[in-house]
Amino acid sequence: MSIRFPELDQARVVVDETTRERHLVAVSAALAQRGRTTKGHGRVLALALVLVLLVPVMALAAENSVPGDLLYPVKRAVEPIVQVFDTDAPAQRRVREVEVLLERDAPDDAIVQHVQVAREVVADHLPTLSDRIDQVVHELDIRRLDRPDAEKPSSNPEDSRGPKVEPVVPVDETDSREGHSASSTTVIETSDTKRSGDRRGDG
Amino acid sequence: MSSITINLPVQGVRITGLTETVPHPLDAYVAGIRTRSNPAFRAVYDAMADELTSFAFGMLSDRKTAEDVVQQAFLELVKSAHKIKGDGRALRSWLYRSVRFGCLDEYRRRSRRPEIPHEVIPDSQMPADPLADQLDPTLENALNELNKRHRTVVLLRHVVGLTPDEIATVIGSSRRATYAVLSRAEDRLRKILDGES
Repeated sequence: MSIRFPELDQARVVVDETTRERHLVAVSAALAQRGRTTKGHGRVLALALVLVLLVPVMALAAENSVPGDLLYPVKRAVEPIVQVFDTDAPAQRRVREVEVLLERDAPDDAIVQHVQVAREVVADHLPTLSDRIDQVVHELDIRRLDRPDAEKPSSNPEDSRGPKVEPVVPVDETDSREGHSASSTTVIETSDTKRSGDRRGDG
Repeated sequence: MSSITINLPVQGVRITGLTETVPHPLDAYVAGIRTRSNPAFRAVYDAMADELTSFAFGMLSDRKTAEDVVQQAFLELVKSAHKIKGDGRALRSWLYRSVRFGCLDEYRRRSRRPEIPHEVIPDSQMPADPLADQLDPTLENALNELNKRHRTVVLLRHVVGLTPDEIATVIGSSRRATYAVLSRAEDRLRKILDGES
């Protein structure tokens, strides 16, 4: 009983048995429902985990497949992902597939058909590769011109392909123009040879 | 042995010493609640149902609605059982907070759908009836004149018997602010009941 507020005593109530049973039944039902939901979530999580593990394994297993194999569609399906990391991957993969078909002694028709596919893919990628090389050459020219000691660009387009490298001329060829080989005439004079020569002279 | 700090309701007085931590009756059921054990829920319900319903009854002045709010609090506990942290005191505070939020939701519902008041002859001399469905109109009117925060702390202190520190946990306020609110609420209710306001 509240000493300061005896009027508040009437707010104290006792839950009757009917209400108690009703509440406990509802709580039990909620607990059972919760248990079922948790089990259901567990199944979904397990399935998701299996899928998450299965997809990379299948993709790896499909990597060496060729047209006609069961896993070849998987290989083609994951190819856009591979292409993100290596843009030339499709061309290289098609060529490799043709080689594998030949190694496996596949029917001629199948090889011919896939060679056609491979040719088309490679043809699609060749201009890209060529463009990339040209772009590198272009960037290199700009970099050279930006240097303070840059030489004026030559009018000759061949000069812009890279630094002019002096041809390496073999010593033999140089000396052969003089009518004798370097190996027979070039003697490096060391202290040993000088001494042996002295001995020969002495003898 | 563990350290405990005793805070007195007088500003600036604080006694710190070493004493045994007093176990709470609900401590034994907290683990069972976390694992959603049915016996643990039944035991906690039996231990808490009366005081939670009393608090909700004081807040809402309607017994059936108060019982529904308490039931809803236990259903919420089923959902959030794994999030319950701490000991039996924390579990008790959680239940009071849940009932308090349920009552505040009910206030909002009532403000959207106001009930038509019916005439009841007030009889403050009527003895307390533990199975009454409505509060005595005099008391109900007095409580209605308090704001929700004042009503909450007065009921938690004088109907349920929580300590000011426990009330602070339930209403999410500091200890000092709770003492101040409780003091103002008690003064206000006393004046209303005495017919001074």
